[in-house]
Amino acid sequence: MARLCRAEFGGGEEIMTCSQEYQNPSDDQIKEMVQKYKKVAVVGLSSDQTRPSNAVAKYLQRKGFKIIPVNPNETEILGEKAYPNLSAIPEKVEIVDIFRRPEQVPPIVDEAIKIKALVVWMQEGVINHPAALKASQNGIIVVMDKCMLKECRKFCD
Amino acid sequence: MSSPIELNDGNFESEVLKSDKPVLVDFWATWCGPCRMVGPVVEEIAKDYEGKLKVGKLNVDENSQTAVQYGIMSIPSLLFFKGGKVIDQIIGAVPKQHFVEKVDKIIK
Repeated sequence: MARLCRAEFGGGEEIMTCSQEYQNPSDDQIKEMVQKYKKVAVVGLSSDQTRPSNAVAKYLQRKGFKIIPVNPNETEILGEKAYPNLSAIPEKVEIVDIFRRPEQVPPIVDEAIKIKALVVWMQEGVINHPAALKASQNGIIVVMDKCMLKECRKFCD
Repeated sequence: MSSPIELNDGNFESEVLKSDKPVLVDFWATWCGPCRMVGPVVEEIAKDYEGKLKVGKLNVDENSQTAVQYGIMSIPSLLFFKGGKVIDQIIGAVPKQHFVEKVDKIIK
């Protein structure tokens, strides 16, 4: 976590604000987690093959990950039963991989805390510092603004 | 003389969301310099508008649940609540006049 204060100019005035920013684990830690944890709930997984979520999940499947789709509008994706939310998943979830807009992340983090997930992974462009801080304060490892496919390409093998 | 009340995750609903008066909530932290700059302004607003506006301070480090719920990314964040909903906000340490303009509109 980093605490940053900055001045911005708005309407001819200098306005000072501060923010707490979550900082990602090191590459070594990311490597360890993609090699160790193999049960991934993919929140916002699409059945549309042109969507990034579908391509990422398919790649992870090929690399030996068990994919658990979370999408209330689908019954099955990539050959796996889909669940409407994290709480409905009957088995242990290790990684929660999030393909949703940043403002939709907080309730997903709350559920991840409830089901005692080990890792919350927010995909590239999914940035929500307060939610990431909350998850990490609850003992969850958080990876934010990174693509799991790209990290797996570097570290899975 | 009215000074800002201490808000936390536990009393936020009863003090803010169920308040019969509009409420100004100052989301702050001890390590945040601009929050300390705006603190005295918030105290003055509490005195100036006593009886018309409730003013409270919430430490975001100790009350992360409420801070996350309202998507507080930067502090100081000053949210105006009326009838349980956010109706306006100020982000950053701004001069008192900005508060006065917004408060006058809200309590009208």
